[in-house]
Amino acid sequence: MKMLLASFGRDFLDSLARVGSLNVMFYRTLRSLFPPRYDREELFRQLHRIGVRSLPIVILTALLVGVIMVLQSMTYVRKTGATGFVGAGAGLAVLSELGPSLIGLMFSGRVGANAAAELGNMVVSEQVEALRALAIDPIRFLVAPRFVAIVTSLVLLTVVGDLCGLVGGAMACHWLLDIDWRTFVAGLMEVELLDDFIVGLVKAAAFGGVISTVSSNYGLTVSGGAQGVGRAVNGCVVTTALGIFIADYVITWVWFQI
Amino acid sequence: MSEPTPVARLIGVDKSFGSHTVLAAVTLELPAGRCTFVAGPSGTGKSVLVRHLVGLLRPDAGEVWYRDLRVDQLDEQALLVLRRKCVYVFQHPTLFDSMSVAENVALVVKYHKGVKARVAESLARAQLERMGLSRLADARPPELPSGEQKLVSLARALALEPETLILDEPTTGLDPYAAFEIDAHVRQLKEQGVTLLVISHDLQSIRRLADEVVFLFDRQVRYQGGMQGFFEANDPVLDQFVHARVHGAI
Amino acid sequence: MALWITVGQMLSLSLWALLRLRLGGREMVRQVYETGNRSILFVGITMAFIGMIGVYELASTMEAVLPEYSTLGAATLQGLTREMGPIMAGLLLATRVGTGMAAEIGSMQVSDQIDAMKLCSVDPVELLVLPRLFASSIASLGLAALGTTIAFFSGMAVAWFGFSILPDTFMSLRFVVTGDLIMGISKALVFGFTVPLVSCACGFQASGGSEGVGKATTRAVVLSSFLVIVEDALITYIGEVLQ
Ligand SMILES: Nc1ncnc2c1ncn2[C@@H]1O[C@H](COP(=O)(O)OP(=O)(O)OP(=O)(O)O)[C@@H](O)[C@H]1O
Ligand SMILES: [Mg+2]
Repeated sequence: MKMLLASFGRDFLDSLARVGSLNVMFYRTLRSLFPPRYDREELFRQLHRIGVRSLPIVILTALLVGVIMVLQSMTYVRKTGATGFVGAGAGLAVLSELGPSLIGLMFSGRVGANAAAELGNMVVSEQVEALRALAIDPIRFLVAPRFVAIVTSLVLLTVVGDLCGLVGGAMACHWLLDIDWRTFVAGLMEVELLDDFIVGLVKAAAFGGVISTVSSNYGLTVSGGAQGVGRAVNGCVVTTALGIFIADYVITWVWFQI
Repeated sequence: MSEPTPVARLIGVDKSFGSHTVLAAVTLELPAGRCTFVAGPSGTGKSVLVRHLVGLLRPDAGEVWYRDLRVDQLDEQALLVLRRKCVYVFQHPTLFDSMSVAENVALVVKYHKGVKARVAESLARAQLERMGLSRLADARPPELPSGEQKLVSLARALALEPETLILDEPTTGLDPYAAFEIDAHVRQLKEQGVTLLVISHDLQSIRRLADEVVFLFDRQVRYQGGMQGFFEANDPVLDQFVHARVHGAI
Repeated sequence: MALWITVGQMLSLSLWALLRLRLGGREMVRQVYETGNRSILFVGITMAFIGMIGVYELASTMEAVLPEYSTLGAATLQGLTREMGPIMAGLLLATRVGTGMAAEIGSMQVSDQIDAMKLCSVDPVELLVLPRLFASSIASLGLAALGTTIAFFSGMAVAWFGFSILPDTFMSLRFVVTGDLIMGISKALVFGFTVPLVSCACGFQASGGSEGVGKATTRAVVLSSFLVIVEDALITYIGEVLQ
């Protein structure tokens, strides 16, 4: 029992320390973004690597999410008879909620974990120390371009994903449920979608910030060889997932207040 | 010849990792424009010692000075300024393996000269050319033998045009010819008036190049003085090191 | 491609072991404990947030479409049971447990420990994978149930404080039928089986030092999360057809 409490206490202190160092990382990243002096080539390279190469997985995920949401709201519709709900329910869920958060999760798995592993390897092989010794600020050189690329890519990918999600929903209606896809679109039109679309993008930008900050932080604090890198990647995806849902709740809450 | 002013000084530096004390009250001066060698058995903390000079490590106690800067109290931003003048080349070649050799050098140029990528690249190639390394420009670092990796690391550091250069075991593990090539570069730098601090247990290099020798042993500076004095010192530890005797304190 | 061969091999081996009822009891119990223990806090906290977000969103959608809330609680519980509970538990399992397994087996692979095992004629799949596979299916079931419960109650709090819906009204089992329960349970079991299968295969495929371990881990999260989503769509559709 005492041991359990002790380990719980240690975990708690560790998490507090982690939250602190995440904030420091976020602050230093933002500071290195102004004035914008990062080099454009590096940024484009990262945008390609991060954004373009994540496109297939994002499109597939979004299509499936659209399908799942339509199937799900069907069961509700069948019980209540509110057919308009197929389009509205699925559309709102995809745009404001599941689109951004599931795309965010997939993106964190592909890009965040990758960044943590990459930075972790640079730390383990002393390449980060070497940057410091060459008077190059690792935050400005390694973290800032990734931050910009990750946030931009995730927002753009969410736009694409939203579209694919709706297409997926319409296809599910048409082929799986034998509902005319026009009913789906009519349901969509019934509700104000623009607001939800925008809140979805705000969320995507925030998730991008979370993913970039967490992965850079875990990557740059690796210690202990191959196992250390594995541990960092693991910690990174877990913390990111937690961060995504906390940010999601905060934004949803603030959004409904105003 | 008058005594040259020190560029860098360590005063009473202590450093431990956990319960393992690596340096105890180490005091050291680095004279300007001279070539100082640091020698000592493996694992005595030579690398740890010099990392204090560029602020990669901070002492538990004591002071580190570079000219009139108190290095151990600088923050990261101020350290970046220091590291532009005083460059440390790592013991292991720490090239960025996602970039080609030329890009590795160009990176430094781009950051510190504030030039466009294309200009930086051509300056980098010129630097490689001067060191006779043009043939490596497009190779990826992991493909190169370790001697060439070390040469490239040196080239990358020189792209900063440092006033003080710290080399951590530049010739260890190289064949005699590659070692000779590195030494030739060091000699050239010495003639250009760059202050040099070289960690090495390569006695040949020491004979060829050293003005001063610092011998580190058992957490302390055992000897600091001229090169001749190092080889002739009447100290059993130095004697054992210089003549590679099996029996003794080391 | 080589990855799918490994997955196939491991799948057939594990089904064979299941048939012969050779599950290695004690090791499996330990693994269930470890898997569950490692993820319980994470899943709990995350699902609490998901419950709150879900109810917020659902309530405002209902406000826009139906304008009344009487079905909010019932719809929430149904959605959680058959959909959000299992899929989120599956995704969280992929991030928490999947990456762990890929990293663990990956670092054993790059440091030649797996080969060493084969040289002592110990089958690494039987020793490392099988206990994890069955353990994680069981743990996944538990986590999905726990997560659903937590999400429901956190959603109830939001409904109460945010939309003034009393817990009495919210707490309604009206919509949930046996079919939903079966769907939820089968999803949790399938996800719990998929995640370690794919993640361990990624771990075995690792090569090339710490870089390889990082890559294997990344690949494990992406592939297993994606498969969870695909399987979820499939099972939902099958359920839909059967009803
Ligand atoms: N970051 C660190 N954490 C813990 N211990 C360290 C760290 N860095 C160095 N040490 C310890 O300090 C001691 C001195 O290391 P150092 O690398 O300075 O030796 P060295 O004199 O450069 O030897 P070599 O000739 O092998 O390079 C070693 O025993 C090492 O274990
Ligand atoms: Mg050393």
